[in-house]
Amino acid sequence: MAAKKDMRGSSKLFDLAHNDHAGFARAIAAARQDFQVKWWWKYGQPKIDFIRATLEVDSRSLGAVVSEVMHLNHAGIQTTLEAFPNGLPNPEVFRLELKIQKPV
Amino acid sequence: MGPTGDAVNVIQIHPTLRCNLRCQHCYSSSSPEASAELPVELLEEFLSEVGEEGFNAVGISGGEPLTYGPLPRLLASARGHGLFTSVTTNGSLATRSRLEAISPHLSLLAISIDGAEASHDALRGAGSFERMLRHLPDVRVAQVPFGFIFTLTQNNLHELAGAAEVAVAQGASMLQIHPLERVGRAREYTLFPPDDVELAYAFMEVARLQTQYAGRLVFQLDVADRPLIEREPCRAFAVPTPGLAEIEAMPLASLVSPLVVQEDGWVVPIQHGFGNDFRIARLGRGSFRSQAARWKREQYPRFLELTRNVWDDLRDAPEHLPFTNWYAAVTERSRSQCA
Repeated sequence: MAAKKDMRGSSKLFDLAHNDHAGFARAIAAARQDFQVKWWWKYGQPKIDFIRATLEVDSRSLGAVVSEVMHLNHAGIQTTLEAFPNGLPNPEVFRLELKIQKPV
Repeated sequence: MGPTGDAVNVIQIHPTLRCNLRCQHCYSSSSPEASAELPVELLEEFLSEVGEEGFNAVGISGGEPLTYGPLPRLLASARGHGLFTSVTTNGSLATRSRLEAISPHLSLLAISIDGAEASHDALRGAGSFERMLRHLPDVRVAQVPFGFIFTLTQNNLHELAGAAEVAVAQGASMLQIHPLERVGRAREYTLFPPDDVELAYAFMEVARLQTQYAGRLVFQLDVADRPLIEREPCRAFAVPTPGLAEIEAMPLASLVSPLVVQEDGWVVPIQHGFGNDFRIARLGRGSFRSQAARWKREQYPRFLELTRNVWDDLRDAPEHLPFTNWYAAVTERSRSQCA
């Protein structure tokens, strides 16, 4: 892929010159009203907003897993959890439907 | 502690470097000729221990994970240990049968897209864009939440809007924008990572697109925000070294996250290819937890010294350029420190 370092992709989008420091500061401050970086992740790893999972846990582990999942609520995110017992009347396995997202 | 927060502590596993493509920007130099792969039994044993160290999510990368035969078994094992799971794929092998095998065990599928078709194919090979698109109906049928990943270079920000348009049209839930890192095969080509000026422009463009697609697509920009680190230095591990007793008492995930399991079986902090002097454990050489305990005692203070030095270097940037690629900076420094 032939490319040059000075062929900025941004040059096709913005009139703002990259040496206009004050203009940059104003533009970024404005952009921060619409978007914020809170965490930075690795390639292919989703931030927390998108976690949705079905977990199957045995009855002995259920308490610990639920406790751990609910602990996530302390990190500024909302966690909802529904448990479905498999094997009534003596459930041995629970299916947990889990959804985690940041509060809007 | 670390760049991905405390709630989700991630381990990224590279079970193989085999890939049906030979992308110019591949950070792990994966290719069709690569044959090494990790036995699934080793990975299962590893996964059985990581929960005790505070890790709760696993991302499978590669190589192309869909070429790894035991992938469904690996994902099922992770789920069995209560871990969230994601798979990063180029999408061109995402056939219905493969998706049926993994979807019951999968939280999210992340599919690579590198701009418009011509740009995508220039990096990944002719026809790869079309092959990726062709499989998206099967992804939707499998009902797996999915998103796209866009590799940002110095030269392609103007194609991000097009990638967002594709993502929305295809029903993706997120678009991750990850800066190119000049490691692996990317060093062999004329590819430039975005500098801090371009990252600042990227932030403005992402903010614009986030407004445009509010409620339909969520954007994720993987850049470190200097003012944020200034306020919360733990995000970049720029903290004083705790006492030994405190280090030993904490689960590994509270000290360092993410972790990476490389295809050679080494477990390293932060990033594939991180400096050898900072390796944490090797699969197959006994219990992961006992190796991690030794690393905490003997290597963690050096790791924190490294990350503090990186932050010292990064923090002096001009005020109007608040964003930087922390992963690239810390990985490069870790490698330069190794003999």
